[in-house]
Amino acid sequence: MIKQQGSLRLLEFEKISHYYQNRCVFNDFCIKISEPMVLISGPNGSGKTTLLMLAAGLITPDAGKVSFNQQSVLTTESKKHIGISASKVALPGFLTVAELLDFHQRQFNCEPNEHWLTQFGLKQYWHTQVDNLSLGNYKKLSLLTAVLHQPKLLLLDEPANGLDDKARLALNLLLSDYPGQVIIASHEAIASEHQQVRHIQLQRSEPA
Amino acid sequence: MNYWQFRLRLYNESLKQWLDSIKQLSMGIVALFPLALPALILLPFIAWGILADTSSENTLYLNTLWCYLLFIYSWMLIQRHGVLATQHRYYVDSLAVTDVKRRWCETGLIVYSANILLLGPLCLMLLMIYGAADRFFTFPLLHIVEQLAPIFGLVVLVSYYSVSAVRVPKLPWLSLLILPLAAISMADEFAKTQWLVLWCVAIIIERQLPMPSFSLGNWPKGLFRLQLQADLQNPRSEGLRFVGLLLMTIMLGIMFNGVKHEAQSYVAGFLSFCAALLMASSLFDSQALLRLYQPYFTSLPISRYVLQSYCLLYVAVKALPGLLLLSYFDLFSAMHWALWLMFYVTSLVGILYRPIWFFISPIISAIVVFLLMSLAH
Repeated sequence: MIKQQGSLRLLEFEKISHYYQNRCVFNDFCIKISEPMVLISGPNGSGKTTLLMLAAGLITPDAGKVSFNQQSVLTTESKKHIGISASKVALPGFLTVAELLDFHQRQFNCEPNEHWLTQFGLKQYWHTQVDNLSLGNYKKLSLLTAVLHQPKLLLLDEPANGLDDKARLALNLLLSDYPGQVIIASHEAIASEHQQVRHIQLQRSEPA
Repeated sequence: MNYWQFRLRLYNESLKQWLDSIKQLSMGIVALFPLALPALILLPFIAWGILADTSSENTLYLNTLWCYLLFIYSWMLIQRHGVLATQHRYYVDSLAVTDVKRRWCETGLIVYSANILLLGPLCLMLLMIYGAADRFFTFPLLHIVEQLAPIFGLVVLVSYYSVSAVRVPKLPWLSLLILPLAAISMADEFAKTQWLVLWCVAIIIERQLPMPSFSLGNWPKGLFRLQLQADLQNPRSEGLRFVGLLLMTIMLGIMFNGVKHEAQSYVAGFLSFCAALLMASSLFDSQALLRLYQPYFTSLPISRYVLQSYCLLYVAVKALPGLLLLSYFDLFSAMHWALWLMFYVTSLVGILYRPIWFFISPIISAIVVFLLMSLAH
C-alpha cells in the first residue's frame, strides 16, 4: 500500500467481470491503482466510462469487487470520499445552479467553494436552471460537484469536453494542485504534463 | 403531406407518447374496474341531460357543470403539447406558414382533440334551437332565453376552457376552484342563468388578476427541496392527480347525496379506497425521479433506505391538500378515515415492493375488511 500526502490511496479492481447484454466489457479484470494521477485511454466502447462508474460504485459489477482504501466502493461511507464527473451522471436539470450546489453541499456536509466557482465562471449562472446551461457550463458544474467535497478519489470522464480555454486552464490548475487521487478517462492528453502519471490503455472487446 | 396533415401527425405522435406513458395506470384501472368502463363512456351523455335540463336541481346542475368543465380543461391541458407541437416548436416555427394558417390549424386541432366533449353540447344546442324554432314567434323571448340559457352557457364555457387550456398559460384558479367550492354551499341562492353569468365574471376577473404565486425562500432544504422543486418544475402530474381526486369526490358526492342513508357508507368506503390509491400513486413520481437521476443519487453518501424514507415522508406531506379536500366535502365518518389510512399505507407498500401490481395489496385489505364487516353483522 502506498501512503502519500498523509492519506491512503489505493483503488483496486479484483477479478471484475462486466457485461452489457452479450458484450463483455471486462472479464476477470484486475488492477491496483495507487498513483496520484491516472489517465485511462482507449477507443470508443473500450469501457473507459464503465471503469469510472465501477470505481465510483455507481454500477455493480457482474462479478468481482472494487474497493478504495480497502473499503468496497458500493458502501455509503466510501461515497463520501469519491467524486465523479461524467456525462452519464446526469444532474437534476430542474434545479438552478445555486439550488443544486446548496443541495450537494448539504449531502456531503461541505462548505461552498467560492474559489472554483469564480475560476470556472459559474457565478453569473447562479440562478440559471441546470437544463438551460450550455454544454460547457454544464460540464463546469459537473466538475464542481465532483470536487466540492474534496474527495480522496476524483473520477473525471472526458473532463475537458466542451470547455473553453479559460476553463481548461482552471481545470489544469485544479488537477495540478489536487491533494487526492485523480483518475481521468480521456482522449486528450490533459494530465500528461503532471508528474507521476500512469497510463492505462483499454482495448475494445468484440461481441461474443 | 400538407401543413394540416403534418400538425395532425405531430399531435397524434404526442398523444401516442402520452398514452404509452400511462399504460401502466390504464392497466390498473381496467383491472380494477372492468365493469365501470362502459359506464364511464355513458357519463358525458348523462351530464348533457342534466346540464341542458332547466328543471334539474341547482346543486346537481352546478356539481355536474363543475365536473364537466374540470374534465374538459384537464383533458385539453394533457393534450396541449401535442396541439401546439411544443416538442418540435423550433422546427414548426421555422416553416414558412402564415400566422392565420397556423392559428386555424391549431383551432382545428383543438376541436379535434376536444372531440365529443365539445361537439356533443354544440350538436345538442343546435338540435334544441331547431326544435324550438316554431315557438320563437309564439312564446315570449324571455321564456326562450331561459330554456336555452343552460345549454348555451355550457357550449360557451366548454369552448372557452378548451381553448384556454391550450392557449392561456394562466390556470383557472378562481373559476374552476374557488367559485365552484363556494357555490356548493349556496347553490339555491341564485338561478342557473345567474350562476352562468357569475361563472363568466369569475373568468374575466381571473384573466385580469395575476396568478397567485409564492416563493419557496430558503425552506425546505435538502432532499425535500429537491423533490418539491421537481414537482414545481413539472406540476402537471400532481395537478392532474388533484383534479382527478376532485372529480372523483364531486361525482361520488353526487352519488352519496342521491342514495339511501344505508347505502351512503358504501359510497364513502368506495371513495376512501379510490382516493387512497390515487393519492398514494404520487410515490410513483418520487420513484421515477430516483430512477431518472439514479447515478447521481447513488453517488451521494445517503443509503437507499434513507432516500426511500425521505420519499415516503414527502409523499405523505403531499397528501395533506387532498385530505383537506376530502374533509371539506364531509362524506367520511371516523371509520372511513381509518379505511383510507389502511388503503393508503397498503398502496404505498405495494408501490415500493411490487409497483406493477401495487393495487393488489389494497384490494386484499379491502376484501379482508369486507369479510370482517360481514361477519360482524
